[in-house]
Amino acid sequence: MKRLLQVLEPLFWMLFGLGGVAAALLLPALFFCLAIAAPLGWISPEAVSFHRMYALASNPLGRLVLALVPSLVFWHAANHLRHFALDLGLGAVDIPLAYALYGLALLGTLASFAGAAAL
Amino acid sequence: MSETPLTRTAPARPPDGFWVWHPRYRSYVLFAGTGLLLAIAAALVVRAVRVLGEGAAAWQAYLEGLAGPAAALNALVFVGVVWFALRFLRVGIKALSVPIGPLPALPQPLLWAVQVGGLVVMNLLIALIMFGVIL
Repeated sequence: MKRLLQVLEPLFWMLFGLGGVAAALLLPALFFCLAIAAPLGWISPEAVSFHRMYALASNPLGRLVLALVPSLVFWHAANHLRHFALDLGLGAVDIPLAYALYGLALLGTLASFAGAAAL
Repeated sequence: MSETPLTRTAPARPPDGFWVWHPRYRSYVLFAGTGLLLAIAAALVVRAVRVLGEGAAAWQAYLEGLAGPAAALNALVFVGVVWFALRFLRVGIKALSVPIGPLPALPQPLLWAVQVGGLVVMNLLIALIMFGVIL
């Protein structure tokens, strides 16, 4: 089990880097609009109407962004949390924790792509 | 093959006491901890996309559901995401301000301008689209 993690380590760090860039460049505005501004009515009802949002999200570029950004952020978060646990002295549970975190990132990736594909 | 370094260095050692009392460690470790906030933010984006796929009534219920106390929690997550973005730029600037192969090191002010400019432009672009100013 440890051997597989070691083999995949470069892939995890690549996804970590890509996810960090996605999280810094795209996530703040996306999260602010979808989780704060739209629900609180700071954006006009026409702008966040179902038909406009569906049209934005369901075009090919929208689907690609909405599938890739959360997926990459999940992988970034998984790798970051794994090393957060190591910083806190939880090295003894590194292997099972790594499998759990990367497994959740994989599930998040599948959910992101399934959600974008279902539009 | 390794060469003996010219500069003598002290062996690495952990800080005395708990990391919280050391500002440099605190910032570093809290930065790693933002992974949890990023995962929450990404999960909410996924949920919004899935709700859009369920129809207009589900989308309206989603907006109304987040208008209550959840907005305060989301505001906290948003602060964490923004702090992560700014802290991540610092890491990026450090990582890129060294010579890479035959390429010379880029000046730090240029790296700052490119990275901060990219962050502002991309987030502004998304906000303008979402607010209905463009598209």
